[in-house]
Amino acid sequence: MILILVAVVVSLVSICAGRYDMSIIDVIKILFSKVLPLEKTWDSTMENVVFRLRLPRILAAFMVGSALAISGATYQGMFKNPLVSPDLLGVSSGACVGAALAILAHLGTIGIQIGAFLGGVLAVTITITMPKLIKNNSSIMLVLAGVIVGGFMSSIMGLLKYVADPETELAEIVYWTLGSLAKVDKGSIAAVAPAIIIAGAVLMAMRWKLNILSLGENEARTLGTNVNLTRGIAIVCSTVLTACSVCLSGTIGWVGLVVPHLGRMLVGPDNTKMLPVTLLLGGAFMVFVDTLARTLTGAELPLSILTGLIGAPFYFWLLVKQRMNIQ
Amino acid sequence: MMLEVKDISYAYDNERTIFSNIEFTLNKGEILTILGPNGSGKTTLLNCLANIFVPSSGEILIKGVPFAELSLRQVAQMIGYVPQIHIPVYGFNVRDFVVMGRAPYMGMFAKPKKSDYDLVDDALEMMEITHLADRPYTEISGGEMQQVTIARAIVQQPDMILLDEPTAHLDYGNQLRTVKMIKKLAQEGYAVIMTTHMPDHAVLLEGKVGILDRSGHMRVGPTSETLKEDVLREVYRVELKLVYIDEVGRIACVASGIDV
Repeated sequence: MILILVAVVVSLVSICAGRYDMSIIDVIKILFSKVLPLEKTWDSTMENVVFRLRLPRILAAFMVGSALAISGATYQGMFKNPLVSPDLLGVSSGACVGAALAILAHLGTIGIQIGAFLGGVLAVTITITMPKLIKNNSSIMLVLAGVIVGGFMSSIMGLLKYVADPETELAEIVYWTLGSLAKVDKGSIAAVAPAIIIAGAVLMAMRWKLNILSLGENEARTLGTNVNLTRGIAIVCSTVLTACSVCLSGTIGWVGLVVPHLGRMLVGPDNTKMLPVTLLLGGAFMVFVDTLARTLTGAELPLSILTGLIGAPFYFWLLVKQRMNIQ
Repeated sequence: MMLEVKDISYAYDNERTIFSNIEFTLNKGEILTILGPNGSGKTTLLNCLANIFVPSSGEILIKGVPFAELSLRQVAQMIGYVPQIHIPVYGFNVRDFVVMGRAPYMGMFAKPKKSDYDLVDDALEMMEITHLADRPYTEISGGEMQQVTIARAIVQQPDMILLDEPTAHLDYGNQLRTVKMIKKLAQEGYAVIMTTHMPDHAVLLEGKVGILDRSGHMRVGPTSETLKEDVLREVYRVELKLVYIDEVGRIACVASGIDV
């Protein structure tokens, strides 16, 4: 409950902050004017800024943050390893390659988004096919396959950067891989929102089963759980979540790793409580970071720079607090 | 008949045979203690009985139905499995850990309800560990972890409980308390199978004993008839005696003095 309040407050403050300053009262009035008959005490520029610029962007930031956070939490539970992030199976590196290819082919913003999504999904598909080829379905094999695919994609990425025109294309690739929500508009949000909401809802619905998966494959099986099916659904949902958020914002590090830790510290490892908390925290954190990104300096700061600058020391702080519990 | 094991064998990659021609039956309330040297395949056998591994040949029937005809969930509703103590990555509360025993009764998108937690509280009470309910599973002692995991198996409401070396990593007192608990489980009506390294445990449990030897064969029968000096000597390759000790009123397995 408190967290919902925090998320709402962060979002409201975020709407107010920016090049065009507004008071919280005005913002709240503008928001409610859509549903309540309120006297108009603001000018239409303000209304435009709220509905056209800031609200979509905050929505996007919240979606991206919570999507990354719950897919990170899912992976950490599933692979019995709190050091795992949503990139584990290669989704981010694949998305980078897809986006870079689209940039080199000059396909425009929508092309880059589609390229990133396809690249991410393709990379994970290759990763989960590998253990099937070797006929070994253990999660270790899956993780190793992820390492192989991730490394391979990084090399392709290096090659693409090497051949890119350093003046224009390379700059765009680098900027994209650092993540930004500056180019988000209502159209792209509407395009990915259904997928994010469905995948997120499925993970939320099966979150108790994630507890069982975290016991390990054999124990889960003796508790009557079809491990391959359950893990498969969780991987598909997490991949969709990450790929969709990468579509919107480019790659953003740290959120999927750090936020689940914070959630676990607040309410414990039980996913029935931890996953909703992680969702809210991830969303609020991303809105906060994105607000900093657009207000700290005159130019937009890439998001990964900020998530790294905040996330890394924060992670250290979490480790200090938890040091008794980590072997 | 609760459990019928019909001529099963297991071979990794169809090459290295671990055991073969294993055959026995077990009834409600009966205990089978499986003995055998390291690497003889005790755990592999138990994993087959727990439906984790599928035997290379032969079949296992629970209440007359072969495993092959049952879903994972159906088997898990009849067989509870207590793995060897290991420290999990995440410190679930004992209650949240024990309630996972309800998984065989729940669909993909279900969460445990109050009635499930009521069963958990009953099981904790039966195991006399109610005071642990809100402690993180990672922060309790080995003996307590054993009790908590048995409570999880009880919450599964199975007909049979399998325990993989339940006395490993436990001190002398906790080992004997665990053996006592297993006897109590059998009295409650569960069929119980456990593996152990201590022949004395088979004597104390008084049920059936299965002795796996190095060639992968298992002698099964009532402990009083099957647990013999020469068999143990051959299986463990040490000098030992089974002697009746008046002071405690039972047979005990004792090693001869050690000459270096």
